[in-house]
Amino acid sequence: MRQGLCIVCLLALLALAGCGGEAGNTQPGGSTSPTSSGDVPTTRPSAEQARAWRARGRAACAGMQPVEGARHFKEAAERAGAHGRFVGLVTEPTAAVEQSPGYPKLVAAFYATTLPAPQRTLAAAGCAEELAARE
Amino acid sequence: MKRKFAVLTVLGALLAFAVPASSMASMSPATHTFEIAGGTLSPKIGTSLGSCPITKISGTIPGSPANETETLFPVSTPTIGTCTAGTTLTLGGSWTFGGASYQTQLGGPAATLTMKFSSLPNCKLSSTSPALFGIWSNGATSPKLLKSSYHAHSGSALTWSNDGGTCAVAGQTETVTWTGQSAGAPLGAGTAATVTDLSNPNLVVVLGANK
Repeated sequence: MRQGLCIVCLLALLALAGCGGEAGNTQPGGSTSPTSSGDVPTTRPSAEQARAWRARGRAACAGMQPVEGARHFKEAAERAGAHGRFVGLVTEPTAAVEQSPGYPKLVAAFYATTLPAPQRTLAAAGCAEELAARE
Repeated sequence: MKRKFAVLTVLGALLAFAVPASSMASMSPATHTFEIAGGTLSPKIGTSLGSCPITKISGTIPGSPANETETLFPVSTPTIGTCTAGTTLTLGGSWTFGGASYQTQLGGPAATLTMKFSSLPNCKLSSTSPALFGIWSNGATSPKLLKSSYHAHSGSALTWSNDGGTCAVAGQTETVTWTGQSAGAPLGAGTAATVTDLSNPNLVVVLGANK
């Protein structure tokens, strides 16, 4: 009887050792601090550069309706690396997207992908102004 | 007596086999701290509007036997490098890393990832359970040390939402790219980051089938 009890205890211990395999991420150790990085330009544009980039955006988008602009810049944006789904969202918008007050800004950002990164923000702002005026 | 002994043995065996085999991969050496770092060719999280490199992924491998049975291990929030101008990436929550044999996943249901682009104000792209998939290659210690490597492969879908204004594509999804860099080639040509055992640089961090 005593032997039997010892065996049961041993087997129970073995079974419990296997329970360490429960799936889950309950072990401590991972940091939960947010990490953020991003727009850390090494040099800020001069006032003249800023004006020029904004003007460039206005000129590029002048006289176009937003969806017209999106299709106009499609090829250049794809060459610059714009991805398939995003290209479709911008150039073949649903009615809800096209009618959104944010659509000119979306097209402007799409246009800006054809430019060097430092110029994009200001050029997009200029382009968005032109497209919004033509809506 | 013998019958009781036999019954107890069978019951014990059944108990042992009843434990669910829920795990898929092991990682070793147990308790060692590891780091995945790509230097100037770090893997990047990218979208059409901008991208950010992840310069370091690090964590501590659980002790035995958890390192042989857990699928995913907690890691520190990945370190972000310098993003393309106008792009902001924020990582938060609790991140995990691991996988089945050579296929790995970084992120998890408790992690958060948010990207913003100054060229597209009033929009943000985010996920509360990001998944960044990678391919792991085990190194070797003989005939000489060859560290394991990690190749960023693909990312999961994030969702656009309003951010201080109206975002035209709010509610739409976009899959981020998660890929290695290659100097002089289009993004995605496929470099790999090195995995270092920080506890003992002469050892190799191995990802393998669970025991």
